[in-house]
This record gives sequence, C-alpha cells and structure tokens, in this order.
Amino acid sequence: MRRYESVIILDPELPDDDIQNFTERYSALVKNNGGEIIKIEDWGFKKLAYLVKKKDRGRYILFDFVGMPALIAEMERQLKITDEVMKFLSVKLDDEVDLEAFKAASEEKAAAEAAKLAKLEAAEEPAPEPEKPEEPEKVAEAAQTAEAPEGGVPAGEEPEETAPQTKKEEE
Amino acid sequence: MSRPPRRRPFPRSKVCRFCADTSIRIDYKEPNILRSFVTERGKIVPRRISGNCAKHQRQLTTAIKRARNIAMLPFTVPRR
Repeated sequence: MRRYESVIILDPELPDDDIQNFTERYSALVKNNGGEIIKIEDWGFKKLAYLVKKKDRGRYILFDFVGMPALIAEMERQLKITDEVMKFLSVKLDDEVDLEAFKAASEEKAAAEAAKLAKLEAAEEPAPEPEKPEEPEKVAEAAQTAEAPEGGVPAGEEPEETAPQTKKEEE
Repeated sequence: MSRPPRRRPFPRSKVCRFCADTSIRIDYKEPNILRSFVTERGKIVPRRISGNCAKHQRQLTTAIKRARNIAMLPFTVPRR
C-alpha cells in the first residue's frame, strides 16, 4: 500500500452540491479499489497564479489516501475525463504503508479531526468516541508536531539572530 | 581599467533558513513560504543567493515545481 495525496482544482462555478457529489464519488472510487481515505480537505476558492481553462480562480480539494498503484492510475484516468476538474496533481507521500498500523497510529488524530471530517466521511467508519472535544485535539496536535521533524537534530538550538546585520558598504 | 576586485554587494544571510529553523517545512502546498525563494519573475532563486544548503535547495526546487503545477506559483510573470 502506498500513500498518495491529490490536489484537485475544480471549476469555481460549481455549486456546493456538486462538490459534495464529487468528493463522494472519488472516495467511493478509492474504497472500491481497495484503498482508504485518510482525509479530504476543502481549501475553498483560491486565486490561481495563471489562467487555467481561462479562469483565474479555482476550488481546491485535497485527497489524502492510501492504495495500490493501480488505484492511482485509475483515479488519474477518471480525473482526466471529468469535466469539472481543471487541473490536478498527485504526489506519492509514502511507499510502504501498513494500513492497520497506520490506522492505529492515526486513531487519535482521527478523533481530533473527526468533527471536521464528519460531514465528508459520514459513510465511513464511526468516529472513535466523540468524547472530550477539546483535549484530544491538543494531544493529537502535540503528537503531530513531535512527529513532524523526522530525524530532526535537536542539538542545534537555533540561535536567534538578534544581532543586527551591519551592511558593509564599501565605496 | 576593470572594476575593483573587491566588489561586495550587500551581504546575504549565509545560513540555510530551513536548517536554522527546523519548524519550517518545505511543502508545495504552502506557496507563501516558497514565494520568498522565487524572483519577481517567478524564477527559482539560486542557492548562491538564497544561502540554502544543497539538501534543502533540492527539496525546495521540487516543491516550487509542484506548486507551479497546481497554479499556486506562476511559471512566469509576464512583463506588463
């Protein structure tokens, strides 16, 4: 299993219902091909750095999921066909993901994000106990930040460069 | 005749910003971080100017290229 991430730019004129539809369609696709959605993010409308299909705005959706290589091939094929997709980019985040281990590890993370994803993942596994709405979020965040700097070297405490950099102006 | 040999433009920070502050992660989804390593015309700032270390410059380059692909950074900024 591999972990992928797809950023999809949708037509900005698409009504919210269609966006909902779209995300549901693609989460179904992922699941039907033996994958699992980790998260779906809607970044809303963003201004594009250049025109895409003669539009200067786009609706960004992020899919984070695990699956076999065949899944991503199928998914990209479908994205190319789908009219409302203006552009997309898929990135492989991880080569070897053990789905079960990953699920266990991200359990608390899921708990924190359950509320946010509740709408999008309604059909999926029931959120692991929506108790303690505040606390687990913090714990999960702390865990996340602790994990984040992979192989980070704590030795080099960054020295705040408060010393004003004097510009040597020669001539 | 030629210009004086010791020609120093204003000194740049020589420390890789990503090494100095490990909390900044190079991510193609965050164009605001990447934008400071891109010229006004949208070109990637070379290492000798930005002072990045090789490892981070490499990561940065792929991140910028990815960001361009999803229209978060421009490929070029046309002259008006």
